[in-house]
Amino acid sequence: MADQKKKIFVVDDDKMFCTMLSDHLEDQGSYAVTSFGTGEECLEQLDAAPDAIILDYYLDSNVPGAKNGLEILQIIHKKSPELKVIMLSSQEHYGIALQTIASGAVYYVIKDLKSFQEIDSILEEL
Amino acid sequence: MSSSIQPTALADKLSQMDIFHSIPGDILLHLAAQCRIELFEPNAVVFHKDEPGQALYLILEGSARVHDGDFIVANMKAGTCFGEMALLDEGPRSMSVSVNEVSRLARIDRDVFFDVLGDYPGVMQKIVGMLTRRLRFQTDKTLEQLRRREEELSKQVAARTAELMQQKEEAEQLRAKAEAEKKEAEKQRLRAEQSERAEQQFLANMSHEIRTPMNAVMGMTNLLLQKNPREDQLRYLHSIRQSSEALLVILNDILDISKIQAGRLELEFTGLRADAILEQVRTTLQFRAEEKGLSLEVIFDPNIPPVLTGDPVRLQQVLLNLAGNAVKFTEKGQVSMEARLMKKQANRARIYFEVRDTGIGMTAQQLDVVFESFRQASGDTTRKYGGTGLGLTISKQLVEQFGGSLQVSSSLGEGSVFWFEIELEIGKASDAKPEEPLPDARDALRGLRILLAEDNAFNRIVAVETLEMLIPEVRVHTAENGREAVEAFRTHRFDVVLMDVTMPVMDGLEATQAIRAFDGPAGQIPVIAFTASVTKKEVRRCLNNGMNACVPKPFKESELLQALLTAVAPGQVSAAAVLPEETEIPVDAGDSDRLAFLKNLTGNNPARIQKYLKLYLESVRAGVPRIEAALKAGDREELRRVVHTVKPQFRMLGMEEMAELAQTIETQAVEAIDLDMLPENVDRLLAEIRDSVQVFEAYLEPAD
Repeated sequence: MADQKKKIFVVDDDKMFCTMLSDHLEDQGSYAVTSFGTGEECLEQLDAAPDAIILDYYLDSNVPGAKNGLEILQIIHKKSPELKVIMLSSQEHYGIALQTIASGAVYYVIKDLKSFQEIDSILEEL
Repeated sequence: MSSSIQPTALADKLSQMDIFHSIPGDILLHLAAQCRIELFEPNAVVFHKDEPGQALYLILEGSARVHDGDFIVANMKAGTCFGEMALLDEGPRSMSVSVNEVSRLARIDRDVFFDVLGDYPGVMQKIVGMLTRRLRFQTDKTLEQLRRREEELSKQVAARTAELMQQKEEAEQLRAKAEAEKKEAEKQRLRAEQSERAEQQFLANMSHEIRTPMNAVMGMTNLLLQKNPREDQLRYLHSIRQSSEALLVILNDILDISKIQAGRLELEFTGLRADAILEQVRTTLQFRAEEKGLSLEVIFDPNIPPVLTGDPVRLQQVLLNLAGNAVKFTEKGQVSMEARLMKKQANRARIYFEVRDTGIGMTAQQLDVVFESFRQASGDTTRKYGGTGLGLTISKQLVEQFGGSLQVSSSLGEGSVFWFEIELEIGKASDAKPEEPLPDARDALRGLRILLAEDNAFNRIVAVETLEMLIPEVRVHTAENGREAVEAFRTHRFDVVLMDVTMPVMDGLEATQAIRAFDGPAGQIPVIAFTASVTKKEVRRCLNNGMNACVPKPFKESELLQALLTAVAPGQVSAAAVLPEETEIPVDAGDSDRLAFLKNLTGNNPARIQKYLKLYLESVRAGVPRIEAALKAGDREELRRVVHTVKPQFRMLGMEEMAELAQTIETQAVEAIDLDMLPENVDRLLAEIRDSVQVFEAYLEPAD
């Protein structure tokens, strides 16, 4: 059963949100979640072939100069064009959303109380 | 011939045969003297199958073969003896013997044999014993031969069977291949269908995605226009409005052409007033024509039945496109539109429509391609006159949908004429669209209480302000999604609901169904769909889900008013006005339940709550000094970074006000606006954070 779980990467420098989201997904029993504090760490593990990556847009709060989510997304998309990436951001910015979708993200989710539900339904669809 | 061999020579030959081996020479000589010599021609049969020979034969010259039907069992050469079984009164009944060539055979008759040897019982016994052994041996051999033959046959059968099997297999393979090809074709078809669906979905999404912000742009432009702008601002605003209207036209063109290419453009038949359509086109183009000093003429045949059946929107689109082009490409002179009744019989009328101009006209080559997509008379034309080049293609297709054919004639420098004839059913007066709302519609809607559910903040503002501008004493309650709308509906009284269809959390359709589930008159409240998707299917979906009407976004004020007026009977408004004031049931969102979301999320799991709170405390304890330092140093980038980091944590803990404040600070820091407010806001945020830290520490303490 364990190997049938969907492998999900969560990339967010916001430790609290990252933990909450990972817990939330793990609780459902059908996901194996690995979380990363920076995009660079996630890129190193891409060979593990996750089913989906949930990627925050801003990733430089703790590590100034860390690549932002858009850059990471572009690298991921180049390496594995089929990999589903859901972008996270704490602000509703049409331009950013458009940019990430144009760079291959499948969804753009605003971080708030509703985002868990939204991520659930997106993951179900994938 | 028979004398050509002496009995002694024959006896000598006989002695070489194994059965006569041990017989004394005198007896052999006696036997040889009794032998008859017979000559056979080629293919002559010595004895037939089922007719056992009565004699023993010795081949003196030539050769013979033993047959079993067509099958040669054995070939016998000179010196060979056969027919031994005859001596025992036994015979290979299934065999015949024939000779191959001219053959001479010595025949010892059975009676002769027994006569001669009857006197020597010992010899006889020996011969009989040997013959019996040989017979057994021969029988075995024959059986073996038969077995081999059977084997051969069964091999042949097996080979033939294998061949047939292979043929069958090949046929099977061919069939499988055909099947696979069919499957592949089916897969391709499905894929094509899927990609077509994806394209349709993409177009629908694009339409939504473009219309939504366009709605905001156009709405806010209209709002600004009402706010006494300065002369120069007024010019800019008009320019914005014109540009956005042009953009919408292009958007609609692209959507139309894609629908046409997908074969999905359908006409919607309702009542149609040709005179009103021509008049509407004239009104639309009047200003532009006047600006260019052109006269714009409408010639309407009074014999045309006042109400016909057709798609008024699409007919107007065609005429507006043709007349719009005419005005665009004409520098002086006039543009005329004409509608004439050609034939009327029973309940059908054939109408001729024409748009004529005195403009730049076209050459024969230009005429050839005038109806092709994305083509304009020349690249120059695009630069000078603008447009997508899709208008005429769409018009031509639309006319064809009406059952007509769009024609053109033109000469360079003299002008162009576009015309078509279509046959329409004659309609009833009641089919025609109702008139525009009366000016006192606003009064009829006075004091209306509206629940507006719309997820896009800009569009919400536009809608609220427009409603406030249009309807005196209107009260608009807003909700950001379907669930909020249903909640608001539970706690407030409204006269009408304006409901966006596509919203997060709960969409407009679900929310409408939830509202319809309310008991009594509340559940009967009119719900108007307020949506960016304006496809016919979408409208049907809205109505099927219990909505009363649809207003497309970007909305026109008149359409919105009309929809509201239709939905809310005038009497109902005044009746509603005497009902007690809306009573707000307070929603608990205070600090006391800062942990509500967290409790809900974790299923009130204390370990989880503690874990998250600790992470929060860890984060803000690290964040606060950084915020302070950044503020002190005036490092706005660092300030943004830190505040942005903590913001979602406020949200996740249900501290929405703090999140809002963080957002404000972030915006101020990034955009460098209201910078004088920044320190104050940051101080407020820090105070809030400290407060939250206290509350959470208190919660955690007993556990620590």
